[in-house]
Amino acid sequence: MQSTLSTRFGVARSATRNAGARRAVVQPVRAAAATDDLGFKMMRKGVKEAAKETILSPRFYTTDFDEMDEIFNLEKNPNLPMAELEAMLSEFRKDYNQKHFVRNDGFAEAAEAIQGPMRKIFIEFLERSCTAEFSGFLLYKELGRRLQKSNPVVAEIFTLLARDEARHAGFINKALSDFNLALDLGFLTKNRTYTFFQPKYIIYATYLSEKIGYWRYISIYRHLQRNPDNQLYPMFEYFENWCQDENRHGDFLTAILKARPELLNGWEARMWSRFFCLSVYITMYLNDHSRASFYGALGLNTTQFNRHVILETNNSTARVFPEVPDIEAPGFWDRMDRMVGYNTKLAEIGASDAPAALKTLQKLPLFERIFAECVQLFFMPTKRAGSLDIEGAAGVLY
Amino acid sequence: MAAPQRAHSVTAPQVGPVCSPRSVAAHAKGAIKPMESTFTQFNLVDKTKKLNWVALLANAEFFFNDAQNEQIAENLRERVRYLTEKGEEVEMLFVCEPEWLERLFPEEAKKLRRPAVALLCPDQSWMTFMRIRLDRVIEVKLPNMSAEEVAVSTQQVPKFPPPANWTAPYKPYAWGWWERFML
Repeated sequence: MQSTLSTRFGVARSATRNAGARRAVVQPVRAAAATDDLGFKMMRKGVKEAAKETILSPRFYTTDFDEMDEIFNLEKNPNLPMAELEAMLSEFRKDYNQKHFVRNDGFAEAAEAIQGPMRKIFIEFLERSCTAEFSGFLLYKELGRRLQKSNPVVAEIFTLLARDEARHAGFINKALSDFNLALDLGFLTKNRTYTFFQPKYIIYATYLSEKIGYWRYISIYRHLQRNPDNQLYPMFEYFENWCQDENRHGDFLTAILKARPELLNGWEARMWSRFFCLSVYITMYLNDHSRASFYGALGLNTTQFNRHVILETNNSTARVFPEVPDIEAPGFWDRMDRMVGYNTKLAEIGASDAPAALKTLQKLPLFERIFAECVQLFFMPTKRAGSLDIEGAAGVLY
Repeated sequence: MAAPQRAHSVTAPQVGPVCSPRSVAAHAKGAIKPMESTFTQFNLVDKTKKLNWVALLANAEFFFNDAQNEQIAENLRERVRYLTEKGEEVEMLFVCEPEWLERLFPEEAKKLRRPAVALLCPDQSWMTFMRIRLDRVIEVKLPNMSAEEVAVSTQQVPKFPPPANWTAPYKPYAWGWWERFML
């Protein structure tokens, strides 16, 4: 697996080679350097050690592949409605973005121009994005492999999803090389913690991460389209076509859920819909607010950007999940904003010089507050939602 | 929040403000073109050719005045690019208040807010994909009709103002981006 990955992504080695020419200017080589100029820990020369995993980091997912096989096995489920899935397959086979991810010559120059504290934040943004895309690749690739015999259509779609994610991750990793860094994705594959979810929950979680990914990228893109002076890095030029992939992946997962409506029916499905929506929205809100200067540099107001992305992701999600949070309910954003406050205090404590034990003690009440806000958000008003094909369209005015 | 202005269309190009003092890589600055100018030039399908059309029906504001559905413009542009690269004709049409709506689909017509709009295309699998995406649309079929016949409209798309509750950190697309898909 690792050799395949190295070939596919040109992981690390080629990046190091490319970086060599500019290293003398940008990043002086140090003997046995454990950290670079920006304070990043290095695995080896030019290869960045992955950021520490926290509860808010992009996750690597795994699932029960045998149970997934049970869900899609055509011999065991001869009546599985395949029309929508076959239509999705024909969309993925078109490979709209086959020729899209070709770097233009602006990347290196733009990377040089990003200096100071922004450089560190930018690298973190690229690393998080690369990790998230790569995590999708690993999961989809494995699903494609496991379902090959039992449901060739679904298996091929998963493999084509993996194709897209691999392209995205490789493109970002190449961009990192302009900053004289790369992620060792092979190493990550072997050493990162994998979060286990049952198949139906992994479908909810990946659906949301695809759709929120779409709304994040397209909102940045459209903002830059209308405000060209804020365009400071060429990667954003690729976002529009790029995020069509994410959006389509989400639609495939919609088709999956509609093909097995028991994944959408019942109180348990509604509870989990609510849970996953909130987890994804809270994670993004806290993550982005702790990096507000990044969005500020693009001319975006982090709060407005986040609320818009969450609102539209929620609207998209309401077209398939049986229940979504009512994010316009009074008090919803107050709770979210209070959590941002607690999270900021946590970061301040983390950065202080206090002894580790004292820090833990200082952090405890803040964790308790965040947890309490999460629980209260869970019990706030929700909206019944879902695809009209599943929920019925009686009385609906289109 | 006050209702935003629309993005300027390409026929009325906006002169951007003076460049900010921030260091901006010359290549990147302004490299993202206005949406309205990035549609590939294309030829619409032969107007007289009989085709089996699939239509997705909803009200006009759903298609053209909803932040959630600005993605339809992206889907159409993507498909235009794809078909043009393959040297094929573009066969997606928009029709506002189609002449055939009440005549052929009186029951469906009752379920639609007006004015209604139809998105038409003979490619069933692409339309299935669009229906999964949009969900809140009615699918109907119009077999063996020419583009000329299905495109007969009885009303123009109203000049609706941008949505009052616009939350996006960007302006809505310029009114009329869909006109290139009308006969």
